[in-house]
Amino acid sequence: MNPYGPVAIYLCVALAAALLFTFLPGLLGRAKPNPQKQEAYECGVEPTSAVHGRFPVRFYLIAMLFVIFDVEAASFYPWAVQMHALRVFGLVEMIVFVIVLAIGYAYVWKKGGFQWR
Amino acid sequence: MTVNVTSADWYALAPISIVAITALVVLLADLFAPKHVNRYLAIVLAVLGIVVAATDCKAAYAHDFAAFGGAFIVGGFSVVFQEIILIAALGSVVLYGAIGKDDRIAGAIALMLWSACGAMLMAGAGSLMTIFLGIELLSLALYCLCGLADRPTAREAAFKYLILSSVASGFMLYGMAMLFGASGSVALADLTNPVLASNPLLWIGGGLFLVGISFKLSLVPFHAWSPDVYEGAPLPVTAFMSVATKAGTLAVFARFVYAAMPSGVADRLLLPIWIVAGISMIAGNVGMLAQHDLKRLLAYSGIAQIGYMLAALAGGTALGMRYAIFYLAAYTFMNLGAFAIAALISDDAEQGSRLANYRGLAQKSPAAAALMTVFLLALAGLPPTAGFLGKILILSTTASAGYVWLGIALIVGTAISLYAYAKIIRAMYQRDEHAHTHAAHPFVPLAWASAIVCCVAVVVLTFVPPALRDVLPLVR
Amino acid sequence: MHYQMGNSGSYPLLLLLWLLPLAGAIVIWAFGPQLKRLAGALGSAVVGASFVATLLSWHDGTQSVAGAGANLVGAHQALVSWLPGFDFGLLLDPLSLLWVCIITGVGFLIHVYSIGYMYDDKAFARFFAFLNFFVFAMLTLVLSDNFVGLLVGWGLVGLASYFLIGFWFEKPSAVAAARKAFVINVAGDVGIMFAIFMIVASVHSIAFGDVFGNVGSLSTPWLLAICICLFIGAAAKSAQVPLHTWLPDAMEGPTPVSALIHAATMVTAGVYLVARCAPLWSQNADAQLLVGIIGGITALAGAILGCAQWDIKRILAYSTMSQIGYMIMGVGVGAYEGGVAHFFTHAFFKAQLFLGSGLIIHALANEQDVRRMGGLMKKLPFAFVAMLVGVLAICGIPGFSGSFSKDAVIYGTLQHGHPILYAIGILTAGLTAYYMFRLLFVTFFGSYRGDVDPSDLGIRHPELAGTAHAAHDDHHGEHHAPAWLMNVPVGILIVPSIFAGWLLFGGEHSPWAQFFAQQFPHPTLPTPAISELTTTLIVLACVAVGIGVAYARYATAAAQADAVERLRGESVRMPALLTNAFYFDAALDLLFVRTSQLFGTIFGRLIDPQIIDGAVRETAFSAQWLGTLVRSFQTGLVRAYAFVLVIGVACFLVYYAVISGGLH
Repeated sequence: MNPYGPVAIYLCVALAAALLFTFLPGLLGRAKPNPQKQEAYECGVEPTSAVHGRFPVRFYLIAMLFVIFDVEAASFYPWAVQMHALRVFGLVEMIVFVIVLAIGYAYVWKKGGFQWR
Repeated sequence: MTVNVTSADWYALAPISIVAITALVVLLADLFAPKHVNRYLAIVLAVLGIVVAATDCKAAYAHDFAAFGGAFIVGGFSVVFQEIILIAALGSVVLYGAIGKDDRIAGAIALMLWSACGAMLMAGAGSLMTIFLGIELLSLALYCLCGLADRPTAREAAFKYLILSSVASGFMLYGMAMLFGASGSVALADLTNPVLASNPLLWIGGGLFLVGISFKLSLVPFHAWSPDVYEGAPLPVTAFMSVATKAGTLAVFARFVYAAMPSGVADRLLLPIWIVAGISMIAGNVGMLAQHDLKRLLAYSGIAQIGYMLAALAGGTALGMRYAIFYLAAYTFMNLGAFAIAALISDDAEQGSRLANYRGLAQKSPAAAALMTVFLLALAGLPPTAGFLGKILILSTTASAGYVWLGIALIVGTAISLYAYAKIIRAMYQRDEHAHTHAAHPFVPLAWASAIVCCVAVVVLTFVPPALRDVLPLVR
Repeated sequence: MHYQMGNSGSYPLLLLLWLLPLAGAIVIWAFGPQLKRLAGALGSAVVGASFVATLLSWHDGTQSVAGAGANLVGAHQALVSWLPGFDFGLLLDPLSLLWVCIITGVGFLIHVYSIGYMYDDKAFARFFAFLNFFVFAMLTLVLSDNFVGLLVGWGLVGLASYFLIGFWFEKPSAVAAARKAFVINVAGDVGIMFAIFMIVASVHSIAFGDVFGNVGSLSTPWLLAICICLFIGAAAKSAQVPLHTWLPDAMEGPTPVSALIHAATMVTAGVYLVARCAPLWSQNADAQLLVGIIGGITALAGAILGCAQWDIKRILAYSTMSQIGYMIMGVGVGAYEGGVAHFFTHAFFKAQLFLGSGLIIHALANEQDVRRMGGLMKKLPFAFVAMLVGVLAICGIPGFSGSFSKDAVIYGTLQHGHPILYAIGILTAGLTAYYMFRLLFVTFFGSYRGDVDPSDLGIRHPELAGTAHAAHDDHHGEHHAPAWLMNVPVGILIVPSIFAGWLLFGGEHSPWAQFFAQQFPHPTLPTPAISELTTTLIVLACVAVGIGVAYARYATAAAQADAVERLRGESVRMPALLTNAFYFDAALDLLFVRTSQLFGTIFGRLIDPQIIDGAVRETAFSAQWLGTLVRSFQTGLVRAYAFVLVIGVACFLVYYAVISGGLH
């Protein structure tokens, strides 16, 4: 078997699952809409403006800062798996990574990057 | 597979690490130092860091060491490019110190230093992964830097750069994937396997890889971003971008040409690049003619200049490599010098980049006009500047390698460019009764120093032959 | 064929003679205020010492003749060894020796003369600093053993000339003239630059020896292109049609400058270049023909325009242009000895003519219009003798220096098979005799007209007539330099003006021919139908006609009686074509300035369409960058760029697909 075979199977399964869960409810469930059902229920407020409204830039800035920590979390996983194999080298590398991130975090904080002006 | 990482491997990265740590220190110092010393502290720390890195880097010149299993190669080749990148970083940091805004100094300088790290990584990159890492590190920092001015054009520039660069990176990555598919290895050295010469993956992948390179070098069909981005970005950032990006990418390209191809494919594989370089020499110089903005004009000039450097590499001779590096060094100084002059006559709105402001400059500041004249003459390739000798050297090697048509394109391009450069010089020496004088920035002496150093270098390089005899054996 | 030029070795005197003027310029520049009048003496002494060193180092160079392999005798001193093919050095061979002797020898006399001429000037020291710098630049040009050194000297003499033409920078006309000269000369520099590009691309060396030794390997069109580019430089520097318009204007500079730079040395650099590159030209008949024709046209045009001038220095300027036309014609067609000999004799008699006119201008408080002179023979007898000798020499009266060299050039054109150029040469000789004797008669004969109302003489703008400058006038008459300072150099110049040409006496066995025996190519030529003696006689007949016409118009008793009336009539009736110098200035402006603007606009737009206009930037972006972020996508801004990019990628991919498909 081609060494890339499992990858192809994996891709197919992921695609199928995503499509399945997107369209299956619509097919299986019975749709009987009424105004009450269409209201936002326990998951937010009534939208007051156009759906494609413009967000303040701040939102993206903070979202981007969040993404960085998301990436940090993501990169912890492979390290955690290989922690014993990598030994001190891995530990030091991760500490360096966290320090760099912390300095950036401190910089953003001190410069008022989290203030919602 | 395990790779044994020794301390020698880490030491190979020392110059890059020093620059990266300097950037962190600059940021920290900005947080905790009193407000009024911010600017001095940032500049002094950055300059210090760069000088230390350059000194450390120099030591490896005569060495030849493949660190991290060949992913990063230290030697004369990488050292020369890293030094040029450090010079570019130094010049731009000083310029930012001269005209940048107080509250952004530290952030901008840190970003420039990180960007320089990326370029330095490219200079020594021996594997596709390192190349991509370097390119992205260089570019990510540059996207931010481009938007660092309070002008709509700056943000537009940043955005445009991000989008188009991502597209090009995509092509490049796709090409790298194919190269990896062909050779089964990310190491450039493994691409020399003669079996690969008949593998279509190598050809298509190499082609896409070269597309990415062409984009970063802003060769003509892939150049559209660079005038807009140069114009929009803050002046010191443009100065940095015009040199560091090109130095880093040229290093990658040169390594690819000299050390990463199966024998016998170079002529056919690289032909599109030489054609594109020839087109760039003509089109870049023609593009200069209608410009009213110095940065935009220098963007077009840069398109042509990189064409000259590529012409030296055509044929892949040892002399060609030396001459390309010589011209790159000369170009670094003349370009930084021109930007320094633009900085020293500009105010916050970067008036210095509008060509109309050069009218009558000789009346207001004869020294600035004289220095600018030297830089423009060098860019045009007139004696007695390094630009002239660089062009002569390139011509001699290009023609002897059999690419006479590239030499002719160089001559024609130079002839066209003379109009554009002469236009600025003439404007500077025109009498202008309405020449307005604006308040000079308080830190302008820094730009003066930079301009004078560059001027000396542009002239002195003419008389110092490119003695880089050890460079070529260390490319691999 | 390997071309070795000179005996390589160590020649400290050669270095000395080259660097002395530079040292002089620096010292005078730095200590000008302290030196005061000594600056002149120092400047002169430096150039004089340089002249002596020239003779001594030539002696050295010929003493140590190793003989083996050297094509040429002379001294060669290596300076900087750069890269293979890029070595810099100094070369003193017969050709450069000739130029160096004139630069330092005549230069020395003109320096001494300048002490007297510039005695009252505010910027006395600055003048000598510039003059010394010019000598250094000119020596760099002619001593260089490679094209790049030559180009550096070429540029530096242009710079020195720029400073010296605009020396009296209070005068707007002087500044304009300086700028014009500089621009045209830079255009010439660029021509040489391209020639060097092409030379390096084909020969991979800049050394004269390597280039001349490898001429055979160059293809004919390539060689022609190199020669044309070189000649653009030569034509700009030597005021050849159509790049001559700066030379008459350059007379705005002080008269010694006109004598040294714009008559004796710098303007003959073009002759030097063509003679130096004789191995290139002798391989390409088209290039030879081109240079010969341009030289002939210039000789004729200069002579015609010289007939229509009233400013004594402008007459001499056009005459210089015409005489350089002769030289260029000579070296162009291949008569190198003749062309170079005409440079040699011309340097003496033209320097003398300029210095003589300087005596007149000085004595008449900066009057330069010959219509306001007249009858100066009694007033300035020494100036008359000096001018007379110069005029006789330039007209080619037998026995005077000019006759030998001019006849050599004219006969040379026939020998090399150019009968039309031969006819032009003879015609120009007649015209030369006419306008030079016109100058002589109007200036020295008849009665003095300086007190006549200028408008009666037909002078349209009397306020512009005398180009007197403020700085010179201020001090006029306060304290004068001793007269001998100006008279002695002129007196010394009389000797070579008469006798220098005798070196050519004896045809192929003359000392001149012996001296240059190894310098120039000597193809065997068919004997022309007209002998050399007959040529001399024809030229003499033409000269006699020219003198006769000038005599009839300006020197007969009747002409002198109503000189004022006649001069006014001639001034008023002068054809517009001549007063505007054939409209060359207007044509150049149209050709270069206008078309370059048009070119820039059209082609610039083509390449840089500026898809993004400022309107989009200014409106939306400043407020909501997200808005324009999206909008820029939708209006196709970034998309247009990406489109270009993708087209490029597609081209690349098609190429690689085809190439890799062809592998199987």
